[in-house]
Amino acid sequence: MASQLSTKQVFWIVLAVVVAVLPQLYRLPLWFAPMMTVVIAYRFYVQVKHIKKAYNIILMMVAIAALLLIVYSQGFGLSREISVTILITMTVLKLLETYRQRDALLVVMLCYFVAMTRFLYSQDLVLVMYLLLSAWVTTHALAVINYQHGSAWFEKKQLKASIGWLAMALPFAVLFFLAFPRLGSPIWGSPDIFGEGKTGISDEMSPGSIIELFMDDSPAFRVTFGSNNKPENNQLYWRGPVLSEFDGRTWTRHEFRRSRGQVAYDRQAAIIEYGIEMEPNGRHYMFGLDVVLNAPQGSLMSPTSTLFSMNKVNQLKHYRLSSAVTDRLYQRLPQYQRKWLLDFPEGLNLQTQIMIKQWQATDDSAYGMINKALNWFRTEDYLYSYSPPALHSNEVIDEFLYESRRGFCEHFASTFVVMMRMAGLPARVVTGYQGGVDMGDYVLVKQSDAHAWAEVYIDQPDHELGGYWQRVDPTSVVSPERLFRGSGNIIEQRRSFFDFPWLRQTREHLDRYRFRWNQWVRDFNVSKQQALFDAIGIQHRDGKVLAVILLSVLAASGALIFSWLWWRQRPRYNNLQQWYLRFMDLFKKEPAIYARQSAGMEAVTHSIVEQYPGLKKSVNDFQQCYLRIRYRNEQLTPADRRRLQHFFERLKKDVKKRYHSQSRS
Amino acid sequence: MSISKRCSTAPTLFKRLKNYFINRRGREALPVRLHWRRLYVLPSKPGLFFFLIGSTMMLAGLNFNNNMSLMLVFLLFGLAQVILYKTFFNLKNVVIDQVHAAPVFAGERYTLRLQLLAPTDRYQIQVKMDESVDTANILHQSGQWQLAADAEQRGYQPLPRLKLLTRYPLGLVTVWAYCQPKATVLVYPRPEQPCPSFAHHGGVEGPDSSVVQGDEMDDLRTYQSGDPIRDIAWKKSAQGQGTFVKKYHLKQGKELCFDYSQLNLKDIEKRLSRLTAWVVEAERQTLTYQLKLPQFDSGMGRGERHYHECLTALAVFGPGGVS
Amino acid sequence: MTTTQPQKPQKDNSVTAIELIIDCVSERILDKESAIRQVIAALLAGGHVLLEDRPGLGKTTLAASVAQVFGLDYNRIQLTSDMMPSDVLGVSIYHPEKQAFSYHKGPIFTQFLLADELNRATPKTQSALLEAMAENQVSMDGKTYPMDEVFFVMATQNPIDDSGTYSLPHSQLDRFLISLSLGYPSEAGERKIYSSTYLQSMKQPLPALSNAEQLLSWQQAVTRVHAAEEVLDYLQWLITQSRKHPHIQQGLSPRAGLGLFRMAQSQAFMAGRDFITPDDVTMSFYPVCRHRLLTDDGRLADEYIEEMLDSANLV
Repeated sequence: MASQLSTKQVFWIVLAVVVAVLPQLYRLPLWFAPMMTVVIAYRFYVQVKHIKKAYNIILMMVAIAALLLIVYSQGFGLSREISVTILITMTVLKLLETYRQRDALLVVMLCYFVAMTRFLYSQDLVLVMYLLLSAWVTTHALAVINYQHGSAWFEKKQLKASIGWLAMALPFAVLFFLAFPRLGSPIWGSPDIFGEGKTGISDEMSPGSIIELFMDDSPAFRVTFGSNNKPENNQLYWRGPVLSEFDGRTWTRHEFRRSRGQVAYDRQAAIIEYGIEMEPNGRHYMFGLDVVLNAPQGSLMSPTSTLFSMNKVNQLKHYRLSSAVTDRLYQRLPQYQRKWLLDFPEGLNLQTQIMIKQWQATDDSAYGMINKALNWFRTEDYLYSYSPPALHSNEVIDEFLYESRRGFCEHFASTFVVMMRMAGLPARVVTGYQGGVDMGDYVLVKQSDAHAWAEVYIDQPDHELGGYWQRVDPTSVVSPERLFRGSGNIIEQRRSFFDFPWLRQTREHLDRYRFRWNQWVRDFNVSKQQALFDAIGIQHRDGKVLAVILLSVLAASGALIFSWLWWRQRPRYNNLQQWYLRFMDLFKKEPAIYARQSAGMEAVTHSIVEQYPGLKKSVNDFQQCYLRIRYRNEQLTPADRRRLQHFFERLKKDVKKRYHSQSRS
Repeated sequence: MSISKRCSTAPTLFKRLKNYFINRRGREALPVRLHWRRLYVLPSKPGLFFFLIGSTMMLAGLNFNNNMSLMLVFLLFGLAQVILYKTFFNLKNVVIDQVHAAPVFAGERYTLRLQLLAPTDRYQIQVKMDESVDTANILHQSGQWQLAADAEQRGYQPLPRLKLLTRYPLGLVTVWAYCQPKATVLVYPRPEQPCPSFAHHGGVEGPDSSVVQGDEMDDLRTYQSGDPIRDIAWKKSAQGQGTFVKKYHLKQGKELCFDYSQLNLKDIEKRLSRLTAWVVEAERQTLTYQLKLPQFDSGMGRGERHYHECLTALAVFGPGGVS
Repeated sequence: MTTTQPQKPQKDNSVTAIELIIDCVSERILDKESAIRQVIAALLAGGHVLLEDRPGLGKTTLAASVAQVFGLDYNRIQLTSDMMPSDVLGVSIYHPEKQAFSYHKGPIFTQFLLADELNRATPKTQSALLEAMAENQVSMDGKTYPMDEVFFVMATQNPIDDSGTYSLPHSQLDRFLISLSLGYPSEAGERKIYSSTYLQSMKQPLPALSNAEQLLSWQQAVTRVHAAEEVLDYLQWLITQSRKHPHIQQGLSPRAGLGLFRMAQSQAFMAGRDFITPDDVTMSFYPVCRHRLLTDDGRLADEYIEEMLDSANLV
C-alpha cells in the first residue's frame, strides 16, 4: 500500500498548504516565503525526476535549522507568535518527507490547524470566507489523496463532492456552535495574547500621522444609539488619547497613574446612552463620545477623560457608555499640571510668539485669544488639505502659519494649542475620531474619520472646581463642512488609485453585513447563548440538559445527513421512465408481473398478455406508443404525452374492469 | 498457577470468541447482500489523527473564546459525520454476486475472481482474503476483484473468509464486513515433477500411430517406483547395474490408458500425483487418453472438457479430496 | 429524395415481404420460426451464420430454402479433411497457348454459400474460407477477385462427432455474426413431416419472393435504423458484463458488439420499426454470444448469458 503519490496529489497537497499559510505570510519572518518557495519547488522537482526521499538525518537538520531561524527572528519562548510560526514552518517542511499517503494525510490535516490559527488574529467576515475556501481546498486535497476521480487537475465531480460534504456539515456546525458550552474566561493565557497591530490612533502625533489614517477606510468602531437620540454629526467627537507634551514637532501623551477625579458638566447637556463595538486596535485605548461620564467594567478613565482598557483591545470589544454631549467639562487643574500644559519650545517659532504678544496687547481675555486665533485661521488664506507640503524646518509652527498654510486637522490642532500656550492658556491636543456614517441602526466610524482637536483650560474662579476644559476645533473654522460630512467627502482629490466614491459606498454597504456578522456570530458568547436558550425555553443549563441538547443536535444532524444521502442515492427516473413505473403500478397486485419490472416494457407486456389475453389490445397499444416515444429519433412533444395519456387511461379502465369482473366471479 | 494459565489463554479465547462472532453466519450461499447490520464501522488511524487535531483546535477555540475557530472545528466534526455516512453508504447494500476460481493444481496459487454488484457507483472497495488484497470500484453496477491464495490440498477447497473494506472518500472512517461465501475452489492433485514417462497400461493402440520407439535395449531408463512390472527390462536389469525399464516414446495418435489400480505405489496421493502428471502431459502432447479410477472411467478422449473431467475425478478421489 | 415521406410505405411493404418470406420458409422447416427469423435477420444485417447441429435436422434444407426465396445464387461445399484452399477459392491455371494464367473461380463465388461441416476442413482451408468471408474478396497470386455484393455464408458444424475434426479457433468463430442450433422439432411438427403433402411440397422449389437487389436495399435500410442512447447504454452494458464476468474466459470483442448492434437493427427493421428497442438487443444477444463466450473450463457459457440478461435493469 506504500504507493507513491502522484503529481496531481502532490499538487493538491501543496495547494492546500499554500492556501492555508498565505493569509499568515504577512506576519511570518521574512525568510519564510523564500523558504516555502524553495521547499515547494524542490518537492515538485523530486516528483518529476523521481528522486528518492532525502535521508532522515538531512531532514532533521533542515528542521533544526528552521527552528534556529525562528528563534533568531522571533526570539525564544513559547509565545503564541512563536508556536504558530513553528506549526506553520513544520507543516511546510513536512512536505519534504511527504511521499506516502499516510504522511500526505497528516500534512493536509495540519492545514486545517494552520487555517484555524489565522482566526486567532482576526475573525473578519472576508477572512472567514477565505478560510472556508481553504477548508474546501484542504478537504478536496484529502479526497484526492484517497482517490482520484479522473486525471484532470481540477476534477469537477470531485470538487463538487467535497464542497457538498462541507455544505452538509454546515447545519451541524451551526447547531453545535449555538449549543456547545462556552468558557466564561480562558483557562490558559488571556484572549488578548493574539492580536493584530492594527493601525489606529496612536499616542503620538506629528505632522502627517493622522493623514495616514485618513487613507484607511476600515472600520474603527460602530456605535448603536438608543432610539432616536443620535446627536448631530458635528457633535460626534469620539475622544481618544490626549496629548499634552510637545517637543516642537511631535506631540506625546503624558502618563497618569491615577484615574479621573471629580468632574462636573453643564446640567443642560443631554445625556446619551449608547453601545460601542470596537474593532481590535492592538492598544489600550477605547473611544467614547465626548464627554464620557463613567468608565465601563474592565476599563478605567484617565484624568484626561480618555478610556483605557485593562487588556489590549485585540478582539472585537463591546461596551456601553453614557456621555454628556457638551464641549466643556469642569475639572480641577492642579498647579503642576498647569505648568506642563503651558510648556512650549521657547526659542523657536518666534514669529508666532511675536504675533501672540501683539494680540495679547489688545485683548487679554481667554475667549478673546481663542476668537482671535480662530479668526486668524478663518480670515487668512488657510486651506484644509490631506496632502499638505511637508514641514522640514525646526520651526514647524512658523513654517505652517506663514509659509505652507495648508494642512490637515493635526496641523491646525497642534498649531492652535501652541498658540494658546504662548498666550498663557493651558491647552492640549485631543485625538480621536469625528463624525461617522449613519448606517440606519448604527453609526460606522472609520479610521479615515480620525481627527485631532484642541482643548483650552478656562479659569473660572467662582466655580468650585476652578475652571473647565473648553473644546475648540480649529479645523471646523477652516472647513466647516468637515464636521458634517466627514473628511472623506469634502476633499475632492482621490486619496489613492482605488479611491472611487462608489467603491467607498460599497465598502460602507458591506459593513452592514460585517456588523450583523459581528453581532450574531463573531461575538457569540456565554451571555448570548444564555439568551438563546432562554428564548427557546430552556432555563436550566446544567450538564445533563446540555448533554441532551448536544446529543440531540448530533442525532438531528446525523438524521438529516443520513436522509439526505439516502435520498440522493435513490434511483432517479426521467419522465418516460416514470410513465413506465406508473404502468407497472397498475399491476401492483400481480406479483408475477410486478416482479418483472426490471426486465423492461416488452417483457412485461408479454407476460401480461400471456396472463390476461383480454387486455391484449390496450396493453399492446400502450406499449407500441410508449416504445415509439421512448426510443425513436425525436424529442418528446406534448402531442406524444397526450397520446400516451390516452392509451394509459384506456388501459387503466380495462385493468379496473378486469379486476371488477374477477372479484364478481 | 491458575492465573498464569488464564493469562496465556486469554488472547486465544478472545480470538476464538471473535472468530466465532464473525463467522456466526456460517458459509453463505451467494449472492450475499451486505445489509447495514453486517457492517462494522470504526475510525481509521488518519481518522483518529483528524479527531486529535480537531480536539486541539477546539480547546484553543474554547480557551480564547474564538468563535470562528470553534465554527471551523464544528465544521470539521460535521464533515467527519458526513464522511462517516458517506463511507457507510459506500459499502452498504453491496452484493457479493459471484466468486469463482479457475481450477489449479495443488501447490500453485489460485486466482479468485470476485464480482460485486451495487445499484450505484461505489469506489475503492478493498477485498482481503488472507494476505491477498485487491482494490477496485463498482462502476455501472458491477466491479471485479482478483485475489490470489495458495492451493494446498486437492479437492473442492472452501474459500477463506473474505473481508470487504472501504475508507472512501476521505479515509477517516473504516467500514468493513466479513463474508464466508459457500463456494469452493477446485484443486487438482499436485502433478509429479518431473513427469514420469507414460506407463504402458494396455491402452488401445491407435490406427496410425502404433510406433513405439525405443522398444529395443538402447532406450531404457532407470526404474522409478510405480513403474509397471511388465515394463521392466529384465535382461538388462539382470546385468546388475540397476533396474531398467523400457522407455516408450509415443507418437501422436497413441491412445493411452492410465489406470489407478495398475500403479504400483503405496501412497494414494502419490498415485494420484502421477496420474495427474500423465494426464497433463498427454493433453499437452494432444494424445488421446483414458483415465481409470475405482468407480470412475473417463473413456477415451481428449480436449479441454475431457481433460477437466479427468482432473476433477482425480481431485475428488478418495478420502483426501473431501473437505 | 431520401426523405421520410416516400420511405414509409416502402417500409411497410418490406415488412410484409419479409413476413411472407418467413412464412414460406417455415412451411419447409417446420416449427423453427424463431431460428428462421434469426437467420434472415443475420442475412439482412450482412453477417454470416454458424449452425451447430446434429445431422438430419434440416440445416441444408434451411439454407436451400432461404437461398431460393431470396432468389440468390446458391452453392454448397461439403468440406472434408483432404480439401485444399483452392477447392474452395478456385485456381489459377496456366494456359500454354496463351502463355498466361487464367483464374477459375471456385464455389465460393456465389451469393449464398452453404459450407457444410466446416470443422472437417483443415485449418488451412478453414482460414482461407473465413478470410474470404471477412474481406468479401479472394486474393490469389497477387490479384484480388471481388465477390458479389450479396455474399452470405452459412456454415454448419457437427458438435458431437468430433473425431478427425479441427474445431474452429476462437478467433475464427468471431467472424460469424450469430450461431444457432436448430434442435429437434416438436412432436406435432415432426408428425407433419411424415404427411404426404409436406413430402410432396418438398419436391417443388420455393418461389423467389425477392432478389439480390432488393436484399441490398433492405441491408441498406437496416443500417439506418436508429438506436437511442438508452438502448446503446444497455448494449454497452451487456458487452461490458460479458468482459467482467468471473466465469467467462474472454469477453465480447468490439466486433461482437458491432454485430450485436447490427442484429438488433435488423430485428427492429423486421418488426417494421425505424428504432431499436431493448428487446431487439435482448433477442439478438444470445445468438451473437453463444459461440463467442466460453467459460474458463471450456464449456459454453449459456447459463451465464441468461444470467447477464436477467440482471439487466430496463426500467
